[in-house]
Amino acid sequence: MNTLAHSLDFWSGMALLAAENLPAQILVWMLVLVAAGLLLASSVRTWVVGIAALVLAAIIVGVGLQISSLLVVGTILGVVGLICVLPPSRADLRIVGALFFAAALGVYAYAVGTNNVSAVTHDVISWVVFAILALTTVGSAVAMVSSRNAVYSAIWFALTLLGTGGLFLYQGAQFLGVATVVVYAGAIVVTFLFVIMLAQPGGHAAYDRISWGWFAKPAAGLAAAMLMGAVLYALDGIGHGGVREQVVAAIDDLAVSDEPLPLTSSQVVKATLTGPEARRSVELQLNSTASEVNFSAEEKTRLADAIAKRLPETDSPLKVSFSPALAAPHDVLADSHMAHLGGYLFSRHLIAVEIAGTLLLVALVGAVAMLSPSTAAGRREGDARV
Amino acid sequence: VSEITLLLNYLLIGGLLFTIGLVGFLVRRNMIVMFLCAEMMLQGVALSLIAWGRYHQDWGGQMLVVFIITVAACEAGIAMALVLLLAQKSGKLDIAFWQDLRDPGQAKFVDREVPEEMATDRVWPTLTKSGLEPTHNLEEETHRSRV
Repeated sequence: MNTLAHSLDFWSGMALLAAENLPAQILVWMLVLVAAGLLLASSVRTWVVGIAALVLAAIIVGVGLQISSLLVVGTILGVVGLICVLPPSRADLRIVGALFFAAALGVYAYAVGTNNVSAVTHDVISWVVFAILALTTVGSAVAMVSSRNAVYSAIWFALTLLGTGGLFLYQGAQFLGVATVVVYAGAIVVTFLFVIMLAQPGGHAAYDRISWGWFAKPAAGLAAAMLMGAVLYALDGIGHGGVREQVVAAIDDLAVSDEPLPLTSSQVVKATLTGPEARRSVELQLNSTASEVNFSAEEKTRLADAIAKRLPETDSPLKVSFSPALAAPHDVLADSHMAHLGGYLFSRHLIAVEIAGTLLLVALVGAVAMLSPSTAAGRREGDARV
Repeated sequence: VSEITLLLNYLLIGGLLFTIGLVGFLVRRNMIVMFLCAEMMLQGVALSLIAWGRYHQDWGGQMLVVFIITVAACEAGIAMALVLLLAQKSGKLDIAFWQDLRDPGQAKFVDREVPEEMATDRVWPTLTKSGLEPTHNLEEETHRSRV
């Protein structure tokens, strides 16, 4: 129920943000411009105009919605680079595209890094680790999409998976990090390679060097730009618009402030928010054991008032309530990671696990049945009769 | 790194992976590469799920990813069987070969120009050489005790 409430709250929050801020006329103008650009492109029969329309649209979206402009620039550069390196392209164009893409990644890294890096050493180190993992993942993803040989595509995909596994580990998802490498990179990619070598023994083929005419690349690039624009817009909302972030900032202030507080600041060791984040009521949970901090009802009220007072004005007053000051029940960063994960998996999702196992069996039987010689022969006879 | 920036970074990377996979799926014509692109979109979603799970301190995100991996394995098995069948019929992995399945009245897609093959396209991945090559003894290698 918790998870469902979280997701429902996320989407309703997104919808609220969109309804409050989204200037509809900008979207309409952008669509008109893109349509004009694509019409022009169809008469000139070149994708340059398509890219121009796309860039224009992205700039308008970026400026109009005033989302963080560096990321928009990065997205535009990246989409242009992606269009340049995708299959029907000459060698020199691929180099240009790679440069574009490197520039895009640089801009992204700068834009994200300015948020991340503080003067603290371990912050810098963790940021560098994250940057390396992210660069590996995204860079090899681009290489996979643009590679003109399917074998290299599969190998680049394996590298992407290694990067993703590292990113999982970085988030503390140890089991999934290992499982991704073992199952995906170890089994699935090898199956892909096997099928490629079986079905395409020459290794290189004409259809790996072309696409669906001139239209596919600008259209796909446009879709990519719009999708990334939507993602960036949503991220902007999550990063700055949420009541939750205001509360977190207020609590951080509270914890480090020198002003006289209703409680001594040493008692507020570290405050984190959990639970359903309703937009008008905030649940505050203190991440410390009950014996260390024992708030009385009166103290709770005073602390809640202090937090509410430091929040910006909202339409209705925020209600701050306290859950029992115990460790979080679902601590995904717990030391006994596997035990927690297994406990959760085999208690709450037991039926789903059984169904997934059955699905694996069914898929196995289905794959064998599709390719077994007897059914294949039957199919050929059927073809002959028809 | 605070929890919110961690979440934002991961959503960004997840979105990038999803988008690149989408573009690849729309542009590429090799059936296997298209399928790899679909898998990459799944990876993007998995990253986002993990990030949300960490942010909310909830196991639900990791749980969904466990099931994503399971279903992706099933999907890969079935899809590879199908691709092999299709490749046996057509002799190639080109999805455009199957455009006879299109709606009636749709124009047939014809390739206008195919860029010529470059020497770099023919290069296969190779393993780097390692170890020392032993000295060969021709007599020993060609010797048969009886013919």
